[in-house]
Amino acid sequence: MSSEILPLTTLAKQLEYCEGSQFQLILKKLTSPAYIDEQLLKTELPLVATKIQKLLRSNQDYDIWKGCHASVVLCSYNPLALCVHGGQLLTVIYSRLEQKTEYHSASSEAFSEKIVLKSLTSALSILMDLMRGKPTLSRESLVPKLKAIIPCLVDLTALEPELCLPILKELLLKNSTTFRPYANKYRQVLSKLISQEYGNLDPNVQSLVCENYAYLHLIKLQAQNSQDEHQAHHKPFHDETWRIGILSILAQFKPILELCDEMLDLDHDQDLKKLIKSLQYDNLYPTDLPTSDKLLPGLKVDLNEPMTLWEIPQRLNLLIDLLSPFLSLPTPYAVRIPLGACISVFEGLLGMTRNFLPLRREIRRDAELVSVIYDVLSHVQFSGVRLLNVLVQNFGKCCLSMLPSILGSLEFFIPLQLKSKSIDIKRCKLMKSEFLQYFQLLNSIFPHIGYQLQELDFFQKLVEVALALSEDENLANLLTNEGPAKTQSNKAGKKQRKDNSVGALSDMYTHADQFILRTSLAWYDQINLFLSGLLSNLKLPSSQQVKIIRYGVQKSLGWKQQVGHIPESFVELLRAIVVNPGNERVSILPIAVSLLKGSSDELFDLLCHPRLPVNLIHNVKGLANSIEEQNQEELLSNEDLEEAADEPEEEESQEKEENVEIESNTKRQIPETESEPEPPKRQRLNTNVPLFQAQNTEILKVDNEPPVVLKEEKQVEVVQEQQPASAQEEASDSESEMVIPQIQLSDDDEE
Amino acid sequence: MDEQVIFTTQNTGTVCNVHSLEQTSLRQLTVGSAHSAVQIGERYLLVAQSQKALINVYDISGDHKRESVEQRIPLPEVVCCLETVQNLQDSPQAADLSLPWLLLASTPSGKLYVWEMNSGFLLRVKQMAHYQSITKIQSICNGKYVVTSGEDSRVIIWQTTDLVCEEEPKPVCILHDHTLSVTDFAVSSTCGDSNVRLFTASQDATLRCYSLNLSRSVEPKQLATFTCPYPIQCLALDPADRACYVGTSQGVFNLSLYYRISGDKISNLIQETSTNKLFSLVPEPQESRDKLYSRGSLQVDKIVEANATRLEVSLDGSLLIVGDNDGHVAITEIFSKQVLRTIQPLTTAASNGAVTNLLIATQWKSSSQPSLTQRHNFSKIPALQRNIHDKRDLHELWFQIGQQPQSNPPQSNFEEYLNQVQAEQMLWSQSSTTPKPSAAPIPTAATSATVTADEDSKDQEIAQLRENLTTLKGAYAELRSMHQTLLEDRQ
Repeated sequence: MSSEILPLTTLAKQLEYCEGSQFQLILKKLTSPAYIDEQLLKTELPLVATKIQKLLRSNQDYDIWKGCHASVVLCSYNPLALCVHGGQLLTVIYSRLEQKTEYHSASSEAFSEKIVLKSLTSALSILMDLMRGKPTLSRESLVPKLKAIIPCLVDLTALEPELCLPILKELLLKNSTTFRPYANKYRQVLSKLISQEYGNLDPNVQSLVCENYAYLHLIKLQAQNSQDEHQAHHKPFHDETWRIGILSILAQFKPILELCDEMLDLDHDQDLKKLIKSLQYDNLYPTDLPTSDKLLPGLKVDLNEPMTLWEIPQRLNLLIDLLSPFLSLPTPYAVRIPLGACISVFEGLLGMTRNFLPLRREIRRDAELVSVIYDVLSHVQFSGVRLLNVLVQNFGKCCLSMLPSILGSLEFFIPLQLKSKSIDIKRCKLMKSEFLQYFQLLNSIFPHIGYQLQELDFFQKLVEVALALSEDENLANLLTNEGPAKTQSNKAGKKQRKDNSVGALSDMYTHADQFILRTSLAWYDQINLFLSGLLSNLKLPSSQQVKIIRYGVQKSLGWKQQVGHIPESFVELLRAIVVNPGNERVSILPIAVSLLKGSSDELFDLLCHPRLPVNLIHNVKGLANSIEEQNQEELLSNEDLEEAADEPEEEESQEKEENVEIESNTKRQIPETESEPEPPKRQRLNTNVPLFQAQNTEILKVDNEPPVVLKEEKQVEVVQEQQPASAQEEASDSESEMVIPQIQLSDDDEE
Repeated sequence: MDEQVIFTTQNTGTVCNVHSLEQTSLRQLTVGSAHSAVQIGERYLLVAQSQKALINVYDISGDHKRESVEQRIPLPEVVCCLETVQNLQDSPQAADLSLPWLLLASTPSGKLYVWEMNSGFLLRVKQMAHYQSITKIQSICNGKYVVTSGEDSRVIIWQTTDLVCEEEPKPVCILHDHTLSVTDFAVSSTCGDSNVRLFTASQDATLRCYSLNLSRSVEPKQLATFTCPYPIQCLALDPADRACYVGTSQGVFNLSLYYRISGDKISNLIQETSTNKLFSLVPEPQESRDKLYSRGSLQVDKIVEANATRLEVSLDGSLLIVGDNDGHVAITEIFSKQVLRTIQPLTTAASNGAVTNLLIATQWKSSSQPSLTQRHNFSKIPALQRNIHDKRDLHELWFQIGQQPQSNPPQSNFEEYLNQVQAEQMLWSQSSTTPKPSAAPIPTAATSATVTADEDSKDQEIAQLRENLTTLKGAYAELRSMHQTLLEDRQ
């Protein structure tokens, strides 16, 4: 065996000097399972390990980088190396990291330093991941070193949060006891990031910061001056700290909502006022803990400077960013989630609507202020939508016990025109991305609900918004419209401003189609999902139904013409429309089928060529060799049947009833029969139809034969139609009597 | 992979496997009524105790089952049937505590209790859900609806959100075609919107089949009624709705729903379009099948000669598990009607009473997944409350989100990892400080070369440092002298 594989020693030598693609080849070689050999343990593996260590210790950044990758690959694919040399490698890596950290500062922009830091940290985290869960390795090699690794990473976090936060997050979750001494320091680092630099971080790092902050609550908070020694003997639940973390965030919503009281006249809604008053949670935990409410500075909001009002939604978003990891992160033990409180906060946030609440009298005059307030309020509401989204994603049906109030509050999110009940579509368009999340939320709630819903009005509004926002928007058209649309266009697109001031406007009039804002496929996917869910769960009024049908058909056709295929979500929507025709008497089955021409869509195929056993009795042609016997049997049995058919009159009458039933049923299930005068259904019944699954015994009986043949030769036919062929003159009469209504039925259908 | 069977008799509880011979008996069990046990995930088994207002919780996870009761949950009163409504379809299994959303329980007087399991809150008590004791509760269509059957010969369908939201929940529909107590019902496992089939069995010796049109309004339609010579005690449905197994005191009968009339004629007994066709089941026919069929009679095969009280069908639909009146469970092959194995409770008692619960669950165990056999901490189920929950407070849920399995980048996707290495390599080679392998690449004398290289660079560095030092020294001396002269000038 050893003759075929490249000896490790050569690899080790090459490793030292290789460059570029050669290095990648060596990495690839190192993954070979041939090196997991105990004979290599004495000489060759140590050689590789020392070479890697040497690379890591080198003062060339490039060598360190190579060493990191080599050690990671070696340890992940070679358990021998991991167990024997993993500890040493880890030591070297983290000591290098420590050295690099010392000299590293935010100002040093050398890219090589960044790469080295990145590879050192990622190697560190991968090695730690590999060692974790293996009892001896983690006891001997990992945990003792964590005491040095953690403070080093904590220090680096302030400068390179992106690199350190994922590692520290893992450490907090899996080694929370070892982390304990450094928790306070880490909290300070994170607090600084949250309170001062949060807005400057990229979203990924933002969420990492919040997740780390949440995980800090796996470690018991220490009061700054722990006086209540007498409380110490009360053994709290495991999750006490976690709960305090949640409550301390929830408690901060109340003052912000009370700020909104300065803008909106909440006296008109006493319930909401009461609700906001009840959002008092800071009495549920001791005040001397370093909780999040001490973390954030006070808001500086001044009604005389309207732009400062934007701090309100920003702060709310920060709070929800902080809160959501508490609700969604995996924890080592079960934690208590104050769902009721979260829903109350959600209701409070969504309650900040201008649909039903007037602005305070004294600020109504200031146009600038009013417009900012309206924008701010809708973002306040949106933060509520985000909160509920987190709740529904994680707790699913547990939210359903508060469903009526949730749906009621969600309705407030749709902006209405002042003093009327019609929807303010323009405002909706301004918040398109927010509405995308809103529909996502609705889509995750709907599958849990049955059909019986009272809030039909709400759903009609939703359909209207969904369809209005799905239109592509032409920015140039906005300009040509007069009056209020003009002010709108300033916000909607900067393009025109530019054109206005510098260049000629002619392009906008001649090539208006170049200024279209297209709706993204992601949006369509959500909307289609929403609409199909709605169609299958509710019976919508005719006008809405028609609108949805028009949207589905037009957009599908548009996609087909422009792109050449119809996206999956539109196919789903078409299916939903066909299967749930609602109160409409027309079916779009022919349209849908011709739109999807050539694509093998099973559902539509089934609808056009129903394979269901429509008749009560079927003739199954068995295997070719047994046909003759069966024919004989049939002779007998048909005679029997014939007799029988005369005898029990009730059965016949039943059968007639049944036929009527069939008629109505087919109308309901396959509504295309009305719009399409010649359904191919009748003819198809004669053709080969896959046999529905028979009884177990039957399957086993025919098992001796090759199944392919079986499929080909089996044939289901309507008894009566097959009858004349089987040369039974007498029998066919009575048989056809039994059958006639069914043939007539098909005629009826066609009428 | 194996199928785990859990069955209880009046005073025993047994956990065993269909295809292997393990058997564990659960202690301290007294079961009074049917359908009073419910399994939660792979971990918990909840059994309502007879004559005590208690639910016993057993931990049945892992290879070595614990026999003792892990937790006792006190209840406001004695309950008979239990059922859970699942929460999320894709809950990570790793969590120690992953509970369903609701626990439904019924009392002998026909009350229906609804608890939220994660908080233990009592969300609703529906008084007089049935006029007599409820015999079975089942949640259908991913928990959107709940079906209950009772001794008052009614079957009721509830909407789950109504049960938790409405003050006085009203049923979505009530089926009252039976004339005696409904003993059992089964719902087809496929759940299309309109094609859910419900089979109900009753003491009045009829088996009724309904099509529940659940898409927009529940309009159940009775498709067929089968009369049996004996009262029906239990019922099981083939996973693909091909057959229905009817358990009576005189044996278990196999009613194939695609009925072969004669030779090559097959009848679909419960097709969507028929309206309440009436058939009678004939276990030992004297006449040929087609003659029988013409009179509306169907021949049914007897699979097992036993006084069956509970029935279950295995995953592949080929085995029927029959619990009988003597407390035995027989695993029977349906096709050959052979009893493959009989399982008895491990007790010395003379009689154990009838089998009251029979649960079957398929388990998959992979050899590379030893964590499943590892014993987790037993996380307690929150205590169930006695008073109806008032919604205006924190409403705290006990919840744990499981950890997703992790794998590090080089192991999970080596190609991607290499690509990343390549991208970084690109950066190195573009940089001004072109990467230099440590020294002269002479592989023969590799080690010595690097050492000399190191020394060379050191020498250079020392020389440079010395140079710096001398210039600095010179400068300093100059400054010093300037300072000195200035000072002297002042003085």
